[in-house]
Amino acid sequence: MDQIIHIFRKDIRRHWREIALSLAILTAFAWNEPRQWMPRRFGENPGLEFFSGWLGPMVVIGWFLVIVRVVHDEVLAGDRQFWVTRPYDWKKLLAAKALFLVVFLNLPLLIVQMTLLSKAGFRPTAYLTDLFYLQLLWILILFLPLIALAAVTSSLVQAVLVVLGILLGMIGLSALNSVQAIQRLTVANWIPVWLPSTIKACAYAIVVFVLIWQYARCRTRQSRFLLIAAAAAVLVVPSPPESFPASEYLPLSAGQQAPVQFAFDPVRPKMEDTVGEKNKVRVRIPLLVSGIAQSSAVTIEGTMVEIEAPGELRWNSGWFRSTDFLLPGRRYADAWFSVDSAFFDQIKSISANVHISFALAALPPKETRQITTAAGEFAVPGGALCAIEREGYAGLRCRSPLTTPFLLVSTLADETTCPPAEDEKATPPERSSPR
Amino acid sequence: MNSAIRTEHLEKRFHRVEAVRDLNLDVPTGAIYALVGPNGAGKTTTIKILMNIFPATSGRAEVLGTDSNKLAGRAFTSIGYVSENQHLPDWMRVDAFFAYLRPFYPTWDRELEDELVKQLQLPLDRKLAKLSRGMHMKVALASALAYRPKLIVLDEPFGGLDPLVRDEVIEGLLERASEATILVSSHDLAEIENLASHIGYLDQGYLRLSEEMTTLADRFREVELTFDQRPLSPAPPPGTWIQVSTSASVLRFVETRFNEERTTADIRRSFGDVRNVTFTPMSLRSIFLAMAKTGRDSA
Repeated sequence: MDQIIHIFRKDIRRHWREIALSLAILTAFAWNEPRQWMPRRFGENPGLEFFSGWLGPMVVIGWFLVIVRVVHDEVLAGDRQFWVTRPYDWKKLLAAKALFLVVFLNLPLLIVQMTLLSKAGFRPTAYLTDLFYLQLLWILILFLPLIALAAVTSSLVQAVLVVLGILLGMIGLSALNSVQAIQRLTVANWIPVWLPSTIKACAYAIVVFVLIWQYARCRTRQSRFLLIAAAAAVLVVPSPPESFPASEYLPLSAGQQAPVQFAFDPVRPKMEDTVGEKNKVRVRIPLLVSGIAQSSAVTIEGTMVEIEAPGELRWNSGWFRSTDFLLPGRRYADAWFSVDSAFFDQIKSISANVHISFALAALPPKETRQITTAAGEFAVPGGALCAIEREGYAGLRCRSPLTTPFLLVSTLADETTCPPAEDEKATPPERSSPR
Repeated sequence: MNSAIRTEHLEKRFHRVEAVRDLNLDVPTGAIYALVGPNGAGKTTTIKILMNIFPATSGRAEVLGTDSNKLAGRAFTSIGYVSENQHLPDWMRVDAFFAYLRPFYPTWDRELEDELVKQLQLPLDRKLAKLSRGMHMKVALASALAYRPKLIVLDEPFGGLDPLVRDEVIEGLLERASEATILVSSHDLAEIENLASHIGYLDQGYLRLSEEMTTLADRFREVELTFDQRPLSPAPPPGTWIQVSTSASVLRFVETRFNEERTTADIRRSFGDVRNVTFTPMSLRSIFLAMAKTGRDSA
């Protein structure tokens, strides 16, 4: 323990500038963040807006600087550093670095989060478990990989170049992915669904192993090779095609009423266009919606379309993901799907049967509360605070800590405290929005 | 006598370059062992393997009874290592550097530290980054001596030092020699001659010789034979003769296993009567120059 504290104190003396810079950025972020909760006015102080946009990335850059510099103070890569032939206990050295990062990265972040919670009107102590979980995520997702990176590099410049290289590689790969021919290569049907996540878990285990191994044995060349191999495996392995888990949706049992009724809408025109995927035609079938119980909602989560036409012409889309919220007042919906253009050309001039299946989730009301509000904030179920925005785009602005409660809000304009204008009629619920 | 350092068939390869080959080294406890050899001979690589900075490709090394592969942490409380290219924490002042190191060593001797500071005239209030090369080396040396290590390992400690600083460093070392084993690698043969009790000569990764200084000095002689007429070189010359050369009526060579009776007998056998024979003791520098040239000629 003495050695841990001894190294820790030395690191504070050495890196007070980096600590001060990182804390200053974090403080600026904490000062600026509550401004983001307020409705923005167009053209208001563009310089400050630009500065605000960069504060988040700047916090991460500040952390990067602190991590790399503090790890490099006892640099592991190379053969000329004095400390490798001094009686350092590698476990204590690693513990000292971890202590430093917890004290100067995690702790300030925790304090900032608690302060922001308090400023936002929430009681910070009620969210301690979530906050600690968030700290753990920061450690696992950002800090540990950065420590591992610092452990296999010998200078800040080298570490920055590696990060730039990784960023460029990711940009390059996503650019390549946008080319459809290459996209087909990166999505492989033969890849089992579990493989990419297993590879990611293995890569992460390699990061942790490299970090410990490098501290224990200083095997930089092998460690670098392992990290590059892990990164390459994560980036290169193709993804399995995204499949919709239709089996998780139970079919209606006999006599069971569907939470929503659909019917073909003969009035609104159906539509098709060829914009989008190559050799596909996108089709819209207009639907009439009814039967949704008051104070509940239904979501469409998946769709499957079957088309049958004379002459044994058949086509099935298979289940695919689609999303739509259906509220009690909703009368219309659309079913969108893409059909092979070759098949579409065969049936476009003839009469065909289209059978559409939906995977639905019914959302029964957990708690319904009617709130009449004028100005200021009001609490809503699920632990969120909301306020009605009256400037610019009028709407409901809510904030909730750490998790977003599923809120279904319908507003009744005629129940507001503002008296309607003389020429304004009372209308039924005019806007509903899920949050 | 026990060995402070022992290696068995030690080898180190960097890709295709064999830096150390089949090295069997034995540094007796209490010795001042000088590892000498030309540039690229493998001296620094050997020392870095011994200090567990590099892993060996094959073979094994033992330092103070510990496998060099396992040398870490507490084991370094008994070892003082100083290298000419070592990166010290340049942001620290000299006094802060000593203060930082103190808690790592249970045997750190404050009085000895003060003595070394005084003897080596170290500027305690200066940052390490601001020190000259010589002063840097003296700080490193003081920091490696102040805890009275059992083994002091110095890699090229005299490189780039002016004669005055060199003398101070050697003086500092010799004062500690009675309580420690010292392994020092150097090009500076003149200084080594005054310092070392044992010597090892590394060339192209091979340990060409390893013995006590006195034995080495006894067995090497520069031999000069004067004839009445231009002599013919013996073919082949005895295996212990190197650097055989003739000029006019004089033949010179270096005898590597000098024994007056045997060498004289060898000369008689090779040349018959010789007008004059002189045997001249050699300096360490002359011995290694002769060996280095022989190695280069045969390579």
